Amino acid sequence: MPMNKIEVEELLKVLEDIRAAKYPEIPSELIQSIVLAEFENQDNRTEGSIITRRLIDDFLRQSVHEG
Amino acid sequence: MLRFISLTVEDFGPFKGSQTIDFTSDDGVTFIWGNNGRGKTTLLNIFRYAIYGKFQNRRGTNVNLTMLSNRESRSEGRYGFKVVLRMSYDGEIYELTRQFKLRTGVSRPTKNDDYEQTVYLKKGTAILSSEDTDHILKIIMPEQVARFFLFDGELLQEYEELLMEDSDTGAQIKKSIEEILGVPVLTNGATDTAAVLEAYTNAKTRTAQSNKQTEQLGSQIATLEAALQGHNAELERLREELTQELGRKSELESEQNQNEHVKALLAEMKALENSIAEKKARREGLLSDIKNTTKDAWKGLIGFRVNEILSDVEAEVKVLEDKENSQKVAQHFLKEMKEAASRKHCNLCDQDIDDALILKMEERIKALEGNYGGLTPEESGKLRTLQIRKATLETMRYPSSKERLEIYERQLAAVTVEISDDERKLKAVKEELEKHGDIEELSTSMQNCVKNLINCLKKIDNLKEGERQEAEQIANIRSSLATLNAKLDKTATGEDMVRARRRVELCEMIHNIFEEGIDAYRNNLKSRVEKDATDLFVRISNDPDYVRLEINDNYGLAIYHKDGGDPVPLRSAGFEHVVALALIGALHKNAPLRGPVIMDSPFGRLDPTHKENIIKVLPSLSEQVVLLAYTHEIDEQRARETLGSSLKKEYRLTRQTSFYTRIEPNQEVK
Repeated sequence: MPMNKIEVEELLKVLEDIRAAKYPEIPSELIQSIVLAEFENQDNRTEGSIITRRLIDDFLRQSVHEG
Repeated sequence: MLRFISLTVEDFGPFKGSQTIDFTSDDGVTFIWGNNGRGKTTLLNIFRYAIYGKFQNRRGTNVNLTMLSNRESRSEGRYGFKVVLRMSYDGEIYELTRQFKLRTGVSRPTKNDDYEQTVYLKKGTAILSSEDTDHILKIIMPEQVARFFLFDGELLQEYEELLMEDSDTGAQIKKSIEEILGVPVLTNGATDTAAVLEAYTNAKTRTAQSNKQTEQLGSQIATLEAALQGHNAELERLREELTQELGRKSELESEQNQNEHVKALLAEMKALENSIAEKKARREGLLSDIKNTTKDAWKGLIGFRVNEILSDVEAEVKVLEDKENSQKVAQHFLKEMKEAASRKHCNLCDQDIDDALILKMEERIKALEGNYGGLTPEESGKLRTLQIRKATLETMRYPSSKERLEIYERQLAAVTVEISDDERKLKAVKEELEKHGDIEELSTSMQNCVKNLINCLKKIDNLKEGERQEAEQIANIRSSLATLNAKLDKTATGEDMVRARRRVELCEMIHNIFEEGIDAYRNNLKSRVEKDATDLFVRISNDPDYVRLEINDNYGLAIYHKDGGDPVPLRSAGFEHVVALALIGALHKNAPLRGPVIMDSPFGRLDPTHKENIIKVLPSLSEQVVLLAYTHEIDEQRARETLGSSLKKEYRLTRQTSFYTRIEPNQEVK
């Protein structure tokens, strides 16, 4: 379902401030994607957690390369 | 944001046939006017029914849907009802249809099972699957936050519970506030990232176990992680059970309240029966007094004539008696004069009288004897007759019973009215009681309810204690794990361990962003809600010295006076409403979920200043505001002037019959 990003703007801003100040290694897009997944799936916790897991797995695969 | 475009109701409640309310697509306010019994609250509940498929009465109890179809439509052979709500959300047009209709093959329903409920949602022109319908409805207006969108003014009072510690209602409202403000997005994010972190931590442990250098340490960590997993699962189970028990407690309390309500009704019925019996006895007494008074009433009726005759007789008697008395006095005086003349000495002045004066006295005595001759024998006879008549008439002067009868009749009328009032109240109480079923069975049910509630409260205590113990064990294991992991990180040098550790580090960072974000977002929200609620409150309040609101951890808002000091104590019901409206407005301003505000009769406890100020701020509460009000709840013309161009539409609920209300565009709109 399309999601109006403006609706979670304040929420994202709070997370972005924390990320930028303390955890700059984490891309802001990842946090934004997790927030949107959680927002859209508040009525379906399983789906929310599956998407979150997949997003983090993808990020870690790109960030931590196998030797 | 969500916006309602139109609502069509068909044979629902008092709304017979198919009737539509069109809302404007512009920001602003819509008024729906309607007197008591015309269906304002039903209309509010129809919105709720459209979105959630439930219909609640004022006490929050779900109503049997079969009762909701229009009575006249039923008698015309149309059973069931339908609602179509058209709305826009995120640039898309949705049409939600919810229908309560007869099952195929049923033509004349006799039981609930003869009906079925259907729902479908169209997005544009496509009909969505039931899963997608369910999902979209939960996203655009979750039931947990409905209280901020669709509310009955009478229920605003419950917001004061937010200022109380350990209030179940307050806790529920707080949960709803956090829902509307989007806090669960973060808490769910924190939970899900924690699960991912745990998985990568376990992977790291498995890597450590597969490495000879760290095998032993890895096994210790694995053991602790397994224990941690077990405790986490147990904690989760306890929490779920606790949530269920709290829900059960809430249901039992609601049942208990219902029982209390029934008990109160029974007490009221008894009191009314006693009152009616006592008043009927009083009425009997009055009827008896009236009967007795009426017996002698004829005497009162001739009293006036008797008085007239008596008055004439008394006048005649007086003339004759005066004449008789004058003669007696004159006789006495003449006797004295004669004695003085014969003795030539006056006894009154003790002086001798000379002869010349004696002569004058004798002449005078002679003349006077002629003047005071007294009553003639006829007059004496007449006087005696008149005196007897007067005495007789005096016995007939019976006081009038008219005034006494009037008093009795007034008292009789008053007590008859009181009896009628009490009997009407008694009838209403009995009807209310009948809704609760067999009174005899209720007593057993009440006892069971109390027993179940006591057991439930005990179980909640045990679950809370179990939760506390599990949390303690989890904290201990986590502390041990942190120590072992630190040791492992120092010891492990292999490539795979470095990668595994890095993955865990990054996962921790992601999780921390969400975990730290929860408090930061809450604090951020609270200060914004506090500021926006204060802005609204100051605009609504009729007391210029109340200058700000202060938010607490539960989102309760305390009022502060310009002189500072403690918050304003013992707020009036009116101010509770004002604070609640300010909070709702502030929540809408700060919530990721935005939508229309539909409120029913929110002015009941407010003075004219508050009413007018609320009208002024209505457009600030939400982009779309629908106000259901009874005629004269607010000054209609003044409200129109106050809102100006912000007032977009007006409808009036007009009575056709007792069971048929028409929704008509208001003709008075200029």
